[in-house]
Amino acid sequence: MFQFILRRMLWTIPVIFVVSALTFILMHSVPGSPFTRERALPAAIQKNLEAKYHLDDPLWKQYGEYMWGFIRLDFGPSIAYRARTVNEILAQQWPVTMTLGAVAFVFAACLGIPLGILSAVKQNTLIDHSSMVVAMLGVSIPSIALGPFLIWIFALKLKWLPVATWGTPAHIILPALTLSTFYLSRFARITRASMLQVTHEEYIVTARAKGVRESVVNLKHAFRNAIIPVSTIAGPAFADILTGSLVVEQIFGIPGIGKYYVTSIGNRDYPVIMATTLIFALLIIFMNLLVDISYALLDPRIRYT
Amino acid sequence: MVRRKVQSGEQTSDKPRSLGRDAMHRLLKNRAAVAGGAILLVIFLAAVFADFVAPYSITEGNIRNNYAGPSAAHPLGCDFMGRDMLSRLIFGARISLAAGLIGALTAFVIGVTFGLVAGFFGGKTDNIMMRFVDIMYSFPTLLLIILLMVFFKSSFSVSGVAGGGFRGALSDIDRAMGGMFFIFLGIGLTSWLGMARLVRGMVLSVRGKDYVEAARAVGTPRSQILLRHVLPNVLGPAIVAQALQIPGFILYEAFLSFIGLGVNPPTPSWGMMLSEGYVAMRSHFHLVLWPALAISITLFAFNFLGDGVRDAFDPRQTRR
Amino acid sequence: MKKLWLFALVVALLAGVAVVGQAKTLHWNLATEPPSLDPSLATDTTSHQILKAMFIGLCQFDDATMAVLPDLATSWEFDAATVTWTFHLRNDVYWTDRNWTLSGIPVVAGDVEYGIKRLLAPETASEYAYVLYLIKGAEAYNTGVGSADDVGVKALDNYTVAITLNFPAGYFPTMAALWLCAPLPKVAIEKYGDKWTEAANIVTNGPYVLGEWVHEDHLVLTKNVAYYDVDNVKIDEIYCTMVNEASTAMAMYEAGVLDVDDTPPLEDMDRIKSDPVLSKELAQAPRLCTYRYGLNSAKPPLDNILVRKALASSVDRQSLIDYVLKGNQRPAQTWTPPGIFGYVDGVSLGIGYPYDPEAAKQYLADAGYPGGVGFPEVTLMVNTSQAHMKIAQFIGQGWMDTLGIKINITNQEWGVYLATCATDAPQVFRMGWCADYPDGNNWMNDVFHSGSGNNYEKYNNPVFDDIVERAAVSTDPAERLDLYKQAEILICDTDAAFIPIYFYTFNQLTKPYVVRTFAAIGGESWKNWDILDH
Repeated sequence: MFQFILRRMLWTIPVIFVVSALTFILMHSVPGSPFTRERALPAAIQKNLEAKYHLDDPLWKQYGEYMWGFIRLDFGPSIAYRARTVNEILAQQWPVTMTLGAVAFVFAACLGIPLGILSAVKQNTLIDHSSMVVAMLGVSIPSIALGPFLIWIFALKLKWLPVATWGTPAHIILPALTLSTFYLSRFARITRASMLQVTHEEYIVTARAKGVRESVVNLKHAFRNAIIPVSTIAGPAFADILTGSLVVEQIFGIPGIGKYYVTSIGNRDYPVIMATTLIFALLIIFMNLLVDISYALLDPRIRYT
Repeated sequence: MVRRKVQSGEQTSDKPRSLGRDAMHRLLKNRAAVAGGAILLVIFLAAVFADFVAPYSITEGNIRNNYAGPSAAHPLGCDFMGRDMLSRLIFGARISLAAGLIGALTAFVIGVTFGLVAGFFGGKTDNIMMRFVDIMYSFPTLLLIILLMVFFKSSFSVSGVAGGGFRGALSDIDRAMGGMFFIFLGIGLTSWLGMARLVRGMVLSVRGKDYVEAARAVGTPRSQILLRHVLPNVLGPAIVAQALQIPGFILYEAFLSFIGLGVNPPTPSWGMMLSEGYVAMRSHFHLVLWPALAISITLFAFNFLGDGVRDAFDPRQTRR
Repeated sequence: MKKLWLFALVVALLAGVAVVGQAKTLHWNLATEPPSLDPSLATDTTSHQILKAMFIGLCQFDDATMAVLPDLATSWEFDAATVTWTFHLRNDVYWTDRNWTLSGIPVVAGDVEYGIKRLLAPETASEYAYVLYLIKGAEAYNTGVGSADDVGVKALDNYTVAITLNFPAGYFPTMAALWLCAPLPKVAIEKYGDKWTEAANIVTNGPYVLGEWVHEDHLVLTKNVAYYDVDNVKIDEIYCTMVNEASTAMAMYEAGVLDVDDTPPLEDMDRIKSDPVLSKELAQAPRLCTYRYGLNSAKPPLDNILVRKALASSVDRQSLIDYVLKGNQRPAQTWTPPGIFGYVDGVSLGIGYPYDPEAAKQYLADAGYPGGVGFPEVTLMVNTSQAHMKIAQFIGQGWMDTLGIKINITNQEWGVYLATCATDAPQVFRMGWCADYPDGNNWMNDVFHSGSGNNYEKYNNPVFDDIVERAAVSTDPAERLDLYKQAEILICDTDAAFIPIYFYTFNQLTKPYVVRTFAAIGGESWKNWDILDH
């Protein structure tokens, strides 16, 4: 197991290089420098600015300098916001996105999985059918439609929750809900399918024959095995939720890194774009590693070499 | 061949049913899937025959009708330019379905080719290719597609003046298609990874099969083995798997059009209509309602049908 | 009796406490995080709004008339012989930080000199430095060929500053009212470098101090008790949120979370105007900006003046305003908006091209394309934004319907868009311009002079250049007005270099308990506002 983790960690190194190189090339292939403005800058000033940020160096040199800084966890200055370094921006914005993502994930898991179990246990009843219809809806309605709709109902008409921005726990609810619906539904459906598959297995039949209580059968035996396929999508779920926060942050005016990413592309704020993409990538790898480890812990048949 | 005496009421046939026919039979028994399929068929036909079905053209509109609510002349109301919502929705089906299907096709072609090559040649080639796939898996897809779209859109070449060789030509094609070309390309370039992995896995398993070994022993050239044995077994499940991805691509296009990196106006993509209506949502709800419903219903239908197809091919019947 | 007095005293005290305890807070929304609160570097309206509250300038504008009023400078005079403007400063203005621990440091003429020279310093790389090129030695210093000592700004003593110009510019006091000539706190800038604008470090002298700044989230301005005119400042605190989406901000206004919404979405305008409550809260005021469609006269078929006239004559501005913009904007046939010195009423004087479909068709036919037959496809490009794309669809469709030609509407993301327009502009492209200072020079010379970087149309007419150069140096208002009129006729009529579309308006929703002013230029003057009990 330890060797497995170690190899995975080593694996991140080539990933970082490929992802950063690709991002770097794409970024610099898009015309427009960070200093293009509607009121054109005098040529001399523009030259000065570019020199200050080393933008006049050859591309490979810029890349090298950036990666050297990245390894030492110095992500450079922000070009668009002269008073702030990328480290400061990230330190401020990342916790917001992580909180939103974590809460959304918790919603998705804690609402979705029980819903799936319930549906499986009460298979083919009204509860089952209606839950699955709700789950279908969750997978079909895009967040760009759902978000504004939720604001309209809960914040404006019913006035239960705040309209937008961030600050109190109440502010987290609507955006996290919008963000979680897709995976909530997927968790529900997969849990249900998995539970159904498992209930036909022989050990369950045996447990029932032995006279074990139904709830114990479900929770102890069925669930433990059913959760395995679910945990395989947990990693991509978290990754998708994180990237999906881009849209939700825009709609709800949340000061997270997703909203910032879109603006920084527009600003050609290269250091910010690079740092954000790389950190996203690292997080995805990390989450996938966690999932794989939990996979091994849950299913003793899995052995990593 | 021994013929068994048939008892009355017993279902028989001389030939064993193929997997395909079996699956079809099961699919047709799944009411939800059939309903989904029917809805999709309606949408598909409407999209193909949009010119005949839609009451107005996509640009026809009187500005004085802007934001008009539903009426006899315009059953779904008008948008901000006074254009008929129903007609734009019908033409919009074309865009969404095209994005879903052609995007899926592009990803399919790239992924299958990649997977075939990697799985078939094996060894070092396979290793390197799969490592590449693993690395690209870590790239957040949304971020990549945004970067790609900004990059593509910047290859704009003004009519009459070449914007620069290859990129300029691509951008001309894109313009001719109302902005769709780059979307297909963007979706295709970011979504082929899963397909590549899947196909490679299948190729590896087929390679190990006896009949392939036999064919090799006999001296059949590799290309023949690929075409006659490997490909047919791989293509079926691959197509099914990719078809299940289509809803995701439709969503991609909607999202890209929503943030302005999608089609060019006046092309009526549902995502574009959503974004046009989103700002007016609180005053003119119908601008957002219809495209939101359209996307949701389409995805809904696709998901039911997709589920049905998946269950139909699954030999282990766990429900009904 | 004694008890009554005691009772009255307690009541009075409580009332006093209640009154004192009632802090007046204004809830405002900034559409974005201010990119910079450094006066030398700020270029956008959001940053300028905050700067106006925190820093005072040499002069200030009257909100309604745009007349130049004293601020730091109490009086000024011009000496023609030395081409020098001399400003006499107040002696009761002090620098302060947000906790008022920094005390007793007066704002002196040396700070004005420091501020202007810092703006011009090449290392600062300020985007607005070019505006001050009329100061002697400024351009040389800014482009790196001159030294700071040769710049024509001198602090003669602690409260007198002399600014020497290259030519007698009659409009210079309007520039003295800009943030560009404001004094800057050397002590903070040298101590903190790039970080001097953070709330903990910043040193200001205006009606408000920066109490708190949580990036991308909110910022708080608190009344500056050391401000020289503090008795007239009524609002104690201004809480600014940073919500990008205009529709979300509108929802917040309706929910009572915001006191003012200065960007109500145009899609909601119908509802606002018909709502009994909101319609009373809506105010519309002119804004000193013009929206134009630039024409690239180097690209056929736009190289034919008749084609340009045809396009210009088939823009239905009034319908655009009534049905798409809905903000009671004013149609523009000339460039400089009303309120700016140099404005001419093109509509009544017949300058430019009003909406005339018959004339447009005739122009097109005369150009060789009757009914649009044979006319090549023309590209209309805007930057990615719902509003601009809607306008483009309306105008583009109008061209297609009236003239029978084919228009390709496309959009590019802002950075790419500017780069494209600067290097190889499409045939028709959208641009806007807002006044930096209220003078025609900012509109004619700064934008359309053949050497200007803002001249995306690459308009090159030596007669025009000569007119605007003469207007820049002249000190005779009547002569200047006449020259600007000639300039308008040239670019909007004779040469049809671009198509002016409309003059902007402010549409603002304000809660009835806010007593406010409307600033025609720059940001709102929060120091003059008040909040009633509600």
